[in-house]
Amino acid sequence: MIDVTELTKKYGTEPAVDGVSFSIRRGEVVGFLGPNGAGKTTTMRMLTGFLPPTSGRAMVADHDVLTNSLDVRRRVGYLPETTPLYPDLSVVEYLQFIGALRGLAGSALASGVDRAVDACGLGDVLGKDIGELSKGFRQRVGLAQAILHDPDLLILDEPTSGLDPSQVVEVRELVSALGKEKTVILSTHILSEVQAVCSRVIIISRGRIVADGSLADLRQRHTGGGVLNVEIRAPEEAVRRKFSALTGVTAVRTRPLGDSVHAEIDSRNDLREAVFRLAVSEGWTLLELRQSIIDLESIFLQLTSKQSGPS
Amino acid sequence: MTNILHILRKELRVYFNSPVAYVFLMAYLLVAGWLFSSGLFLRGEATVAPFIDVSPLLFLFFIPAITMRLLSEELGRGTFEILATLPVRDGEIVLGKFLSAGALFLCSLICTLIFPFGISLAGELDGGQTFASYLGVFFLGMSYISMGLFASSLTRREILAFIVGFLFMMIFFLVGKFTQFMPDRLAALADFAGMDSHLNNISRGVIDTRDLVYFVTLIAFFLHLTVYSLESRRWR
Repeated sequence: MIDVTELTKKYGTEPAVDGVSFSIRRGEVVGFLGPNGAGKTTTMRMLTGFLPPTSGRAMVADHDVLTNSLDVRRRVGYLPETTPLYPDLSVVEYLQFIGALRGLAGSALASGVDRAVDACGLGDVLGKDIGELSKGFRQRVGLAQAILHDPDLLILDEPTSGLDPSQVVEVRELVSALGKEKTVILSTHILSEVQAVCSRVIIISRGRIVADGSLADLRQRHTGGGVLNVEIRAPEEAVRRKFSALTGVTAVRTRPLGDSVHAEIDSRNDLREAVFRLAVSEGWTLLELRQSIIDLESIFLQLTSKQSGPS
Repeated sequence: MTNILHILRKELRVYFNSPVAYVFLMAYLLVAGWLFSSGLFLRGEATVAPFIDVSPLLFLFFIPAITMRLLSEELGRGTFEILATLPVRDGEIVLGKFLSAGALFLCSLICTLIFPFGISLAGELDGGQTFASYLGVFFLGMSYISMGLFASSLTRREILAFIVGFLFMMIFFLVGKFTQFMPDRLAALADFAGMDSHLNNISRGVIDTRDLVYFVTLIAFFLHLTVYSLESRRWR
């Protein structure tokens, strides 16, 4: 669906996007994740043909965004970051205007508008001026505008920014529903959003891709073993000594907890089995054994901050 | 081609859904009506010439008011980003916008037809010359609109678009007025470049293709500049 090679955009001499390559298959829901100013919006603008790349190539549905811009634009639905709309038009006037420019006419236009209105729950505000709508409804109008022509690819730039929590949930549900049949790229700087709707995440920092994969992949690749929490009925001293001797252990912290001991073991690999066997062979009673997964938040922070030096 | 019509229709909707069109029409007709009627009985002559003569100056203030929002508003609100990612050419956007302001302008001009009609009831009005005058004023207004549209493509601030558009229009308004202070060759050039001589020819009732070509060229030139200005985002 999308094939991007060495895509670069410079504003002056400062690269906003610096040699980015990735490809996205049909039907994926991909989250562009990165701190503000990382180059998410610029990348999306290049994919939609709004900005030309300084160098590199981006193909959308087998069309070059630079030389075949009109063909690309026909296949893409785009919601820019600020959800720009015309406050003086009513919702239905606006959707008809966009639909007409999308080349829809007659019954195709009517059914396109109906479908988008249904999908985005805009039935009650059709006749209202967009200027009178709340932020949540405006966001839905923006989404409706993007899906009017039933595009293969949806590009949504921060679709939930500035919404209240319940609106955020609504929009996410809408995006998830759309993602069932379409390829979706959405950008965000909120991790839980990626967790909620995306099957794959591309983390961008300072114009470069620092990670790319499914959420499970990322966890596995970047957490190592993580921290193992153990609660065990045994002498504290013995626990510390025996656990430290296991392979891969980097640190052991223990503290007494009633008549048992609580131990936190930092390690490079998964120790659960080894700990269990050790407890069995020593005759200790194992009360709790829990591998705490390093959450995406810390992976994200780790990835986006390690770029701060010269690269 | 149909895209131009869709944009034209949307722009007219925006003009008429908001107070812009009504306030513009009312203000323009008030001022035009006052200028036309104030000396009417003193002159005792069946002519719309006083109204036609003051039009270039009058439009200098009114046209930027309707053109300033055409593109600046889209750029400022960010709606241009959606427009530019629809399968629509920049040229179609520009033409649609140009025609929408032209249509509003034509509305205002048609409303003023009450002057010649009214006066023709009271005296002998030269129909041909009146028609020619209106044609000249129409072309003048459309040229102003093309300049205003270009100014509007340069900035996301509407006030700035107003002032810059006003300046473009003023250059073409004034340049033909100072020919007596210029050396002959420059004077001829200024006379040709300025709108005055062409408008005077037409409003005298002489419809010369050279004058029409002048206006059409001016319009085409500024529309082209507007398209380039929009496209410049691609090579900035």
